[in-house]
Amino acid sequence: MSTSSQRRKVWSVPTVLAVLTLLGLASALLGEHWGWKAVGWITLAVPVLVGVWFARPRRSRPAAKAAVHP
Amino acid sequence: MTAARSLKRWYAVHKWTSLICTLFLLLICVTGLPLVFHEEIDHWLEPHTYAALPADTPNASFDRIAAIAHQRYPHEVIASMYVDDDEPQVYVWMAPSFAAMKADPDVIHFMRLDTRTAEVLETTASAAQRPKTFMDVMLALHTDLFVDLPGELFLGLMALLFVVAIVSGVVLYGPFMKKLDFGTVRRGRANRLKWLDLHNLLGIVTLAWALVVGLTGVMNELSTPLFGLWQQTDVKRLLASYEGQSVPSQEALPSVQAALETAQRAVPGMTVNSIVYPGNPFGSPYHYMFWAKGDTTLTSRLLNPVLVNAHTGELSSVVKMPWYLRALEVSRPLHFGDYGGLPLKILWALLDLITIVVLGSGLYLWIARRKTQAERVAHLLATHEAAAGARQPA
Repeated sequence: MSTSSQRRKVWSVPTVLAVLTLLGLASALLGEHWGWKAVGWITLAVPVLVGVWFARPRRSRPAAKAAVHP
Repeated sequence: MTAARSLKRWYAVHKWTSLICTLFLLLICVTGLPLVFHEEIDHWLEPHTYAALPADTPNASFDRIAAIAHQRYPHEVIASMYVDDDEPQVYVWMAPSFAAMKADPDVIHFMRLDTRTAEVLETTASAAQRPKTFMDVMLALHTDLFVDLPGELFLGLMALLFVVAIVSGVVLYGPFMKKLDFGTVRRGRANRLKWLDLHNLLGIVTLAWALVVGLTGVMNELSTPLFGLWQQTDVKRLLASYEGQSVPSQEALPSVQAALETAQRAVPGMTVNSIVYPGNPFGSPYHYMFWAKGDTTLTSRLLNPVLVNAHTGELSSVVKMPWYLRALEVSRPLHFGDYGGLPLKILWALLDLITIVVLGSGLYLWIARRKTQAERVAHLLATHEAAAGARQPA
């Protein structure tokens, strides 16, 4: 199976995004000060922005440069 | 089990759970969009206006509000009252009788009064007679498909399949992304490849949110059986000692205002915001049941029932809620996204839109894959037949 460095490469970003999401949900629910609500907004916005950024429409790259199909 | 075989199984789990739930989940996601903003939409469609009074104007007595309700509908019973926290309004829910309400909860209708002046602002026909509003339709499509409990349980099951689809999708994400950098979207080649990458990318970024909203959705769909369980166990036990006592008629009830003040004193630091009248099928035959809430974002969602004796007007008990109803109460805000102002609602809507793309692309991938497979089979058959034809002597 995959080595630990490979696993880290695949899972590091998704793990960070999941932790940020859960922190955001909790901080808006448990925090009373508006600052905690803002922490919730910012941390929840991160996964949305990351998704939109990588999914944004771009000019197609030449096939030769594209990554290999697994 | 070899890695390849286990992967094949996870793929089958992901395919089948997704296929079964996708169309319903699409419906849920689309109707969920306006529901996230239901407060804003309601205010916009039906703006409420109030008399301009000084901020420290005291509230009207609930005895007066009850008297006005009885005067307006002399042949009906008051089922419950609800005091709004955002606007100076109180809703009085009425029914022809508690027996009629037990047979069909939709017979109830409400009057809306100004909390301070007790002026009647609005009266409505029963839910059964009232034409359904746009938001009613959205809510029904989102929660029960117009068929109450069976619909709730069915959509709850779909939400559960959605959760299984997410988990199996995460298992598949690893092997799919082994040779790719995070966020890779292979464009300029097969369309299917681009959508596979987008499906993986958008699915993984919304993972935690979709899991939370999916699981809390399952929980919300179980609210009817969970409340039923509570009534059949804790509430039944609590009321056992009153068995055989007469159920007081509404004219014979002690002052509702005094009972509310008694209840309020029993839960310092909390606010009583609703009153369930004695005899209401969702309350106690022998008590006023008051619901009190805390004053923080979280504790305002955690309700505590306080029972006041409907014969004597004395405090009976502050009821401790079971863990499963507490879990239900916490799941509500986490499903609705209504606890962090408008910015949180907008984020909820964006995450919902991304989920729609994940669902749609998943469906597209399945169709495209079937097409490729069918083409591959057709190609194989064609070459096989051609080979067989070539072998045959002319």
